Amino acid sequence: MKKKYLLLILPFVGLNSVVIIAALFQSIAISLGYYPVIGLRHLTLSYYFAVFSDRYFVRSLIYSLYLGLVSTVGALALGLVMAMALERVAGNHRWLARLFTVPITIPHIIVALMIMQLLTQSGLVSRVAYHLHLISSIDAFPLLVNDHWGISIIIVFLYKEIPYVAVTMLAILRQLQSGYTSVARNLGASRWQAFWHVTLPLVQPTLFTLFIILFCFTFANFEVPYILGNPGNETIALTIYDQFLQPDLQSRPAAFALNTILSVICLAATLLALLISRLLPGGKDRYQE
Amino acid sequence: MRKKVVILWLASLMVLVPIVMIILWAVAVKWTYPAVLPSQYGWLYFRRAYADPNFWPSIWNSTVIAFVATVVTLAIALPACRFLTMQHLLSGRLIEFIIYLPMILPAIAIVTSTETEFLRWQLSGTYLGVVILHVFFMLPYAMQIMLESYRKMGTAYQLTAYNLGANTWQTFWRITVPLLRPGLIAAASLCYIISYSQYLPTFFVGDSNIITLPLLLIPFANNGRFGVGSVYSIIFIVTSLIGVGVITTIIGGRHGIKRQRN
Repeated sequence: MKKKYLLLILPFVGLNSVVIIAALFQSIAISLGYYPVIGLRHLTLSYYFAVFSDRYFVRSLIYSLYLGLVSTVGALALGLVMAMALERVAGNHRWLARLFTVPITIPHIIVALMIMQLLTQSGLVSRVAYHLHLISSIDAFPLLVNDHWGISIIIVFLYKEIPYVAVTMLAILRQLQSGYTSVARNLGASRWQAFWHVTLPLVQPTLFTLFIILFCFTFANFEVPYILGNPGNETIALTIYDQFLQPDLQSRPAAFALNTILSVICLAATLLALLISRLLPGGKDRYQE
Repeated sequence: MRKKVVILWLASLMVLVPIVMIILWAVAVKWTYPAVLPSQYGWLYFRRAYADPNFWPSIWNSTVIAFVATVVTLAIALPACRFLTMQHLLSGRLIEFIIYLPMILPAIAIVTSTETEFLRWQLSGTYLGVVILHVFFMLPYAMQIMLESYRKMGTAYQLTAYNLGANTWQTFWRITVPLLRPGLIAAASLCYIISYSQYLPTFFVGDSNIITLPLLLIPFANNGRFGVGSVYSIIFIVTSLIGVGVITTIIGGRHGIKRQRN
């Protein structure tokens, strides 16, 4: 291949190098203590130790993992259910199916506002509950926004991601020749057996790819917990945000340590998911080209 | 079958209710607890939003940045995809991994690291810096769509054109682009909306110099100011759809090569 074709890939490599390699490389250096701007030149792991021994940071890590896992697994399960419902029905009810995919185009910030309008103590659900005499006063409505369990945060992610998963899985399901499931049913498999032994292995690579994308996004997401979160119970992205807004540069190495830890977790989750997908039935034959 | 239709109806209803809420809050003047519908309607919140000095600047900034970022993204993605479909050195898996890296790595880490770096290069607070970071986040989506389009297109048409005497430039504009049009439209629309929705990159790299619609929206959302927040949400959606419409028209309509049929 002629050398001049390398020019084609140059802008792509250039941009990625500037952002990923240079920026993250620098952030790793700072997190290890090399920050000439404020006079630090000794490499040290002390900032990482400080992060792991600080209970507040560890708690926000765990909280973020909880939010990420619950939202992602929930979205995958419910999205798959919706995809299977849509597969049969979408042809006749095209407008309904189109309406269902609208959340994909609405940004997370606006969805957060919408869910807030629904679920705060003065929101729509509370008002309807009042009229149905389920609650006697505004304070009796349970705390769903800015609460300890992040319920409204999870609902925002579900609202956005279930349609996304459904649309992606629908495309995949349609690509599979439906012959496979028919053959299985014909040979005596129950609906559940056909699903578990035939459909699921065929779609699991896509499910795992979606898991990686959605988990990394929700785990490290900033905007939604910022609007709907509980100040006493921050997610890891909020903690990092707070650290970077401080004018005191002394806190930067620890903040960059958090950045690096976060990146490593996302990469580890990705590799783990890819590995599991490869080992499960349906995984190995994917890249046989 | 009936059960599935019921599920679809329920799902669509659950999708619709929050959207209706935004519209109602935008046009409500008086909506106190526990009324389920506003008691008084009017354009109060629209007027308040319009009176904000950042109203037009934020719309302008969002639109310009999104346009420029989309063009740059496509300009980077197209040659990169062409290269990737031609070469045989790297495995498909590795390429996918590199392309999806901006989606896997946490945005807060990328944004804060890049901001620190841009401070040194004096790119902080500039439109160029913001556009660069937006393009970085938009590339995976554009590459994913264009890679698929390039693979579907294959090389036969271009080779025929070369054979018949066309040079690279002619082939690109007369053969490749029309064939890629549906993919270009999908990629451009998606990229435009992604850039329009970005908060963290613009906030950090923009350094409070550059205000876009999401930056304007978040304080209202945070403080529970439903009225003005809903107005800005509607403006956001409407202007982003207008932008996508303009881009679609520029690229040339939805019909790809069928357009040549007249």
